[in-house]
Amino acid sequence: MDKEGKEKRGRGSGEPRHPMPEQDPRARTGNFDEVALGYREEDAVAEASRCLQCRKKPCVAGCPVEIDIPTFIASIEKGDFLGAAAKLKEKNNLPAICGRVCPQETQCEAECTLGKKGEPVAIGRLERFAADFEAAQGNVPVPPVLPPTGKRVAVIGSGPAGLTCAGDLARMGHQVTIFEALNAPGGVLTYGIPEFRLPKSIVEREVEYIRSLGVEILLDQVIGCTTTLQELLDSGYHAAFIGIGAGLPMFMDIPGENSPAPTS
Amino acid sequence: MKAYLFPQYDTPIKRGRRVAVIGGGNVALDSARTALRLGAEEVTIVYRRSRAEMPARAEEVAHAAEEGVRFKFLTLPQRILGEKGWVRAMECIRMELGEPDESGRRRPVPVPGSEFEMEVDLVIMAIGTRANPLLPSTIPELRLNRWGYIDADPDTGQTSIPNVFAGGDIVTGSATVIEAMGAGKRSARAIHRLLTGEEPPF
Repeated sequence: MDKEGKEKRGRGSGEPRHPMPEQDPRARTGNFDEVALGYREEDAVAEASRCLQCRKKPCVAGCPVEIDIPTFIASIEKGDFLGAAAKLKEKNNLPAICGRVCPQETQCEAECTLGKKGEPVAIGRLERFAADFEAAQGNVPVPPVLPPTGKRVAVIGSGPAGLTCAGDLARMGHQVTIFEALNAPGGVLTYGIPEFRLPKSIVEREVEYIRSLGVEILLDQVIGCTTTLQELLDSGYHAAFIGIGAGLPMFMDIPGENSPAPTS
Repeated sequence: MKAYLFPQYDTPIKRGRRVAVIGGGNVALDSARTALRLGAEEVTIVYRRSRAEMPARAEEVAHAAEEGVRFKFLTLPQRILGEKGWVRAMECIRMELGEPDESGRRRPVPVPGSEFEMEVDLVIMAIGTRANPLLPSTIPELRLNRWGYIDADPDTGQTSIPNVFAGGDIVTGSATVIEAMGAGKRSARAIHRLLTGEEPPF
């Protein structure tokens, strides 16, 4: 209530962020389904209306891929959910993934003006909502791909670094091949983050999108064993990007660690 | 692999009854929550610092606690005790927080004489990862840093080899999905410039 006795609502009123529906804790330990269920349309529009649309856009500086956050949020507020998804994809090839696993509290949301006095806008939840809404429509548009440059690039590893690099290069008109060591694409997205936090179906959907840009993905290709980097460069690739992650587990080096039961 | 698709796939899974997960990051929490879903009766996160120093996301810590994951902070495993190859217990020592270390977090120091045993039958190490040397070791000209990660320009991902770029965890060490994506983007722009001599369109 403000001085005039009216209830303050909406922008800058200190209203808390809208909670995201979740599976009940007792039920969810009995299944591998996603824990967070995502905003419904009305939750998303209400949360988007909390955004102050700051002219300086401090949140954008907190985003490693510089998404135009206030603009995509304004589209959600207007009910233009597909427009919001398109705005996200200008900078981010994998919004359904980032909306789920980014540490927003130390990135975009940490810079949000609302966060100085209350709770920041739930930017990650809104990103997830827009990406999921677009996917649920079925017909995900492929952005314009520039005319072929005639250049070929080899990308080693199909995790987040490799997929992003490959997707952007393909949109710029280059012919890109990803070489993945394991038998499914996605790297840490597939083999690291568990199903209940990032469903495999979402990863597959985003990988399909990268393929739709013209990227070829070859599986079971352990570069360094099956083929060397030099062989790739000699066989007509003009450049290479190495995005193989850091997947070698560390151990404590304590007695008993090498008995059959401890794992990593 | 595909063990989560049981019964379509019969990949064997190690299931524990009383599970200890060592570490305080997102992987430790993911492991603990997965162990619960696989039917463990008791899952405990064992972390040598306190809750405030945990590198995991706050939301994941809250979710794990709601699900019944237990936390043993300021605790360092010293020995895994077994019988005939099976784990029976883990010997730990209590820690206290001392002066801040190079990461800015207070360094945990063992409390003398505070050793105790925890009964467990499965121990999961989730204390971090390093660079896999498999690929870099086959490229002698590729310059690495002292930890074995690839030495690359932070703005472009350019490595010590012409036309070869790198980005993500193999350059920075374990970081986040979005940071890896940012690196992939910067390298895409740099590769475009190199191959076409033109400024990237986006």
